Amino acid sequence: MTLGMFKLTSSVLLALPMGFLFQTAGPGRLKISSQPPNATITINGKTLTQVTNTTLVVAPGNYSVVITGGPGNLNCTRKVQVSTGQTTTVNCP
Amino acid sequence: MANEARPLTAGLSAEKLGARPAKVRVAAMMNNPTAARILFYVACFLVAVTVWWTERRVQAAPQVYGELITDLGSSQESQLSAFLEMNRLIITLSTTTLGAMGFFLSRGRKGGFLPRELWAASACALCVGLSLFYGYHAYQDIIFMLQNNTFDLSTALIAWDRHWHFAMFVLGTFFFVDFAFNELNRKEAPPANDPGNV
Repeated sequence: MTLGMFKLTSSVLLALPMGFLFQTAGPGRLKISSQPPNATITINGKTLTQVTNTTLVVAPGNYSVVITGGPGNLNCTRKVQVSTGQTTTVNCP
Repeated sequence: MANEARPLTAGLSAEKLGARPAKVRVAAMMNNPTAARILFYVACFLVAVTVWWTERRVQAAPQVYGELITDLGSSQESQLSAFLEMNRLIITLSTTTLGAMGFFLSRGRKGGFLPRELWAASACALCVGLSLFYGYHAYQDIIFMLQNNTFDLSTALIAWDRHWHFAMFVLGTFFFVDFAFNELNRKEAPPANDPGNV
């Protein structure tokens, strides 16, 4: 049984790198602008440290972008889709 | 309700029915070289598929990798340098731990090792191996970020790998210390007829 444990351990260690054999899709870009700038950005419910205007590197997928506050006291919500290698722009207002 | 048919074997355990418990069946399989080899390759395949599937799930989820940059700032260069230093240090220590474990095991011992010690050795090898895996993964994340003109060590992409890289190393060290403590403090070989010896 102990020998089996060693074999299973070594199989796990040998097999882990095999997961890297497969490459996933590359990222896209999300350009977020506001007028006036320096507004807070919240993406999919998570507030970022970055403020407008900025360009983010993101994984492909659907995003809910909320731009709030800043000198203009903005409040915009946009739903966008980002594809691999593409730049998607979000403007507020 | 009282006339409801009940199977004749109702109320009897598997052992009473003559079936071997799972533990005994697995032990029998391990003693069969062909079955053990097949099990080894099946386990390899299952782990590889699990890693690949997890990688796809994690990377396919919508997430922000960081802000687009043209060049690394001086602060980011310092962060990268500190990260790489720590990454190298943990990888070096992990490799040393694996080597030390290999030395203890290959040196052997009169009377053999106790199963408990071998379990600690296996757990140590597994944890340290996982630590090396996460270290390599974190390195891949850095390459990915730099290739895509971004750099942020606080994003979920790399934070997970960095933390597991260290945590697995600490856990592996714990098991190694447990094994080495027993190994160094055991003066006499256990009796040869001890059924617990391997």
